[in-house]
Formats: sequence, C-alpha cells, structure tokens
Amino acid sequence: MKLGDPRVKQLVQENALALCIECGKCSASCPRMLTGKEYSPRILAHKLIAEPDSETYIENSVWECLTCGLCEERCPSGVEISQFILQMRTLLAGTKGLKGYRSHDGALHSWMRLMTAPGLKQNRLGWVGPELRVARTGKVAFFSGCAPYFDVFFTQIGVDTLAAARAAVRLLNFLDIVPVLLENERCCGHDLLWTGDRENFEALCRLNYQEFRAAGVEEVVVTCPECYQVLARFLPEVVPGSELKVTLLTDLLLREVSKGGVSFRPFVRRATYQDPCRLGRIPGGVETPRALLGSIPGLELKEMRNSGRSAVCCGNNAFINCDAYSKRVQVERLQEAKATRADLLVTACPKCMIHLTCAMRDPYRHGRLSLEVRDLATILADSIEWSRGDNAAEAVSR
Amino acid sequence: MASAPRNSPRTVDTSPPLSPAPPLSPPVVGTAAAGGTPSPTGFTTGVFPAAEPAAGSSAGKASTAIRLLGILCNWSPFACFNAAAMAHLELPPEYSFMRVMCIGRINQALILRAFEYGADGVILLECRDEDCRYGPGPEVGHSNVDRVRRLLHLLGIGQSRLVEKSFQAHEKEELVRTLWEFAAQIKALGPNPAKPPQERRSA
Repeated sequence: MKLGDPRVKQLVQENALALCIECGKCSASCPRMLTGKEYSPRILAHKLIAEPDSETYIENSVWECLTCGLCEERCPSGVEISQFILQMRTLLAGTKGLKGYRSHDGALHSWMRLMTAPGLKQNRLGWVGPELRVARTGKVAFFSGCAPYFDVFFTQIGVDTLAAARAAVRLLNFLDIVPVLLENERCCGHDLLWTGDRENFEALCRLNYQEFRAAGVEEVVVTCPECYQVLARFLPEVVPGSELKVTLLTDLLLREVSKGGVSFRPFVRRATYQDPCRLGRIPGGVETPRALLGSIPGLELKEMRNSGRSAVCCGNNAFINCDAYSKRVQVERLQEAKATRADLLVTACPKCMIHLTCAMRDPYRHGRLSLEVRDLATILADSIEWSRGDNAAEAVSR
Repeated sequence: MASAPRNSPRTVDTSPPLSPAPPLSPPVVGTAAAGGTPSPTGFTTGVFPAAEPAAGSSAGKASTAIRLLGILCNWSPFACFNAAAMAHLELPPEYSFMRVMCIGRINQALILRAFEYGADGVILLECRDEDCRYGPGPEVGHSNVDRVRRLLHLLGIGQSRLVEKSFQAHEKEELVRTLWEFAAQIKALGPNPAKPPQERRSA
C-alpha cells in the first residue's frame, strides 16, 4: 500500500489532519515524545500532508502512538490523531499484516482471538461467591470483561483485577440491582481493535451482542473505561440498530448518591487518583470519580501535577510496544504520585493498575516507587452504606 | 496422565527394549514418522514439517481429525525422539513437532498461540528438573503449563489439552507411549471447541 493511496488521503481528510497549523502542542504533550521516543504527532501530521513519500516513518509512527488522546485534548485545530491512528492501523493491518511489538509475546491477543469461537463454553464465573446476588437473565448486566483472565495472567505481579469486579457487583447489590453475569461474554475486543485486528474485533462485538440479547439485557454496567469505550462507541458501529444502553458504574453511583440516602463510612487515607485515558476524554469522566471520592469522609484526595484532563497515560495501551520509554512514562507518573505524599493510588482501569504495579516492582528502584494501588470500585464498595441520620453526620464530623 | 516418578534412578539403558507396552505399536520398518512425511526416518532436519491435519493418514476419520503439537527439548526428549525414530517406532500421525533448545524457552504466549492457530492439544516434552542443561528450564515449563492450563480452563478449552512430561535420555519407549496416549486422549475429547473462525475455515 502506498501512502498516495486514496484510502490514506481520505483518512487524512476525515480526521482533519490538513487543519494542522504545526503549532507543536501535540508533540509537546505527547508522553512518548517527552520520554525521548522518536515519535512526534506533529511530524507525523506534517509528513502525511507534505511528504507522503516518507512511508517508513509514517508506518512506524502509526504503531508507536499510545492513543492516549492528550494531543487531541490540546490541539487547537481539532485534529483527531487517535481516530486517525486507529483507522491507519486497521488499514495497514489489512494490507501489510499486524505490526507493533506485542507485550507478553501476544498472549493476551491470543486469548482474545480464541474467544471469537462461537461455540465457546467458558468457565469464567468462578470468582462469584455466595455473598454476591447475580442473575442469569434480566435487564441489567454487569460486564466483567477480561478481569478473570487478567487475574490468572498477572498473579505474579500481585494485581487483583477481580476485586474490582466483585466490588462492582457488591455496589449494584447494595442498590438492589441483581446484575446478569454472562457465562459466555467475551473480551470487549478493545485491544484487538486498537492493534488493527478489525475482523476479530467485530466478531467479538457480535458475539457479545448476541449474548446480551439472549439474556434479555437492555443495559450493561461496566467499570473498565476501555470496555465502556468499546461497548458505547464502537459496538453500535459494528451492530447497527443496537439499542444497548451502556452505563459506567461511577455514573450510576453518582446518580444514586445525589438522590440522597446513601453515605460513605469514613476511610482515612491520603490518596491520589490516576485518570484512565479512556475515561478522562469522555464528558464527566474527570469529575465523576472525584465527586465520589470526595464524598468519602476522611479521604484526602491529593492531585498529581498532571491530573484531570491533563493526566498522563499509564505508559502502555492495547498491550503493544511496551518498551523502555513506556517504563519511563510509568516511572515519571509514579514519581508524580509519590510527590503528593499520598499512600494510596486510586485508579478506575485495570490496565492502569497492571502497568503501574509492574513499574513499581522494578528491582532497580528498590521499592522507592511502591504505593498501594486500588480500584475506585473497591474503595466505594468497602465504605458505602445507607444514611442513618445523626449517626452518619457524627461519623463525618469524627 | 500417568507420569513416571520424577526422581527415578538415572540408568543407562543398553539392553534392547523388551516387549513394547500395549498402546505402543510394534516397530514398523520404513513408516513415515509424521503424517504426510514420506521420509523413511524423518530426521533430515531434526524437525518434522508441519503435519497436514491427518490428511488421509487416519483413514476414514476425517470428521474427528485432530492436530497436535509436540514441543521437544533438544536434550533428553529429543534424544529419546531420535532413538525412537532410529528404532523405527511408529509415532501418531496427528503430531507436528517443534524442537527447542530448552522447554524454558516456551512461554505462555507460544502455548496459547498454538491453540489460536488451531491445535487441539499441546504436549511439552522436557528434561527432568535435575537434568536441565540451563538450570531452571523445566521449572519455567511447570509454571507456564500451570498458568496456561488455568487460562484454558477459563476459556472452556479444558486443562487436559495441555500436558507436560519429563524424560531421561534413554526413555524412548516412554516417549513414544506418552505420545500415543496423549493422542488417544485428545481423540477421545474431539477437536478443540474454541478454534477461531479463521482456523476452522482453513481446516
């Protein structure tokens, strides 16, 4: 495929790359560029518009991007770099094969592709204990995604991704919602989509949609922002006419909390919060988790130097291209977290948890970066309670 | 699957093999060791080319055709494998074999990829823990097999489709018997239910 290809030209046009004024705000924001990687969104845009013969540079850059979207956040011209990268990856993967170094040798992508088998009979609900009320059919489902798989795969770094799933079901039960847990839901396909494997991604989307339909599900509650992005934004592209309502657990909780009647037990900690990229770029994605954390008495939230809409990525996306630069992004991020003197790092995405925990375990840092990491849902589930009038007020004042 | 005690005394087996164990076929002279490979010994390169999925070799059983991957460590297991072929012991035709320098080189991703590419069963043939040339090879194998088996369980593929077995350098009969037993076990289970569509189309 040549870059003079009309399909590339169309992508350049659709994603407003020609509007680039080369101000360089994107490159000055890019976590990958700032840690020294030879990758620059500005040069990528320039080459695409002015030097389409720089094929190698363009193709390499397309696989280097973290797709965190910080450049888009700051671009004054509305250039949609992430969208462009996604479409270019799909195009390149279709014509030149999948590229990009796969972390863990591609084990995660392998199991995601294995899940495209229609006859799959998974045993993924082993984590559901008797304390959780769940259903087989119903209107509201909870989507646990890859959590059971991550739990097996990342045991050696001590990341408990299932804790977030259990906490989510506990929170839903608390609100008297008995969620449907599907025995055969698949991975949402986020990582296949963002590595250009559109065919298998679409297969997963269709299978998930069939599973939801078969169980009579109308609303899907998710905790993982990547699952949210896929189910809410990309699934309707694949399954036209999908009327599936996708809700982030944090949004649902905030609605319930603002109705009154719900309060939180005190949780006295000094915490900082890592904004997941996929959450921070959607409306309310920055404010909702903070509002919930802010309603826990005793919890002191200390913001990192780069936070909110300026938050820096956890260093890796879709499990490709994890390298020394990713590590540097992670180390710098953890140093920012440490600088807040917080003793708890809260995040809302299992991938942030995995990547940051991995970087903390670097033996050459001698534990200087280690910090307790917990998912937002687990903290909320541990302290949520029904208001008890005076008692609650007393607890807050204490 | 039945496994020999790990710490059996190391002996040099110079005696000719006695009667082969029941599942072990009698020695057949000139039999292709891997399905579709007409080479009399199959040892020109040391690595068998990928067997066609039992095309014609398991006559009349096309509907239950299975594909197995055997990963051989270069040292004890490959010595067994070599000796088995020199003795013209017949191997199940469903296998494709891959020789690696040490089973510690195989990671979880490579095992999963075998299933992704359509394997119905994977067997890791390794040295005894104490015989490893490099140190921790078989232990790395145990931990990978343990974790991938848990993933296979989650996926519903089933833990029994992945096994590991260790050998000493003289145990050619044991190796051949293990391969037949594993093939029989997977045949009884039938094809892997979780083959991705691309693999199903090509099969």
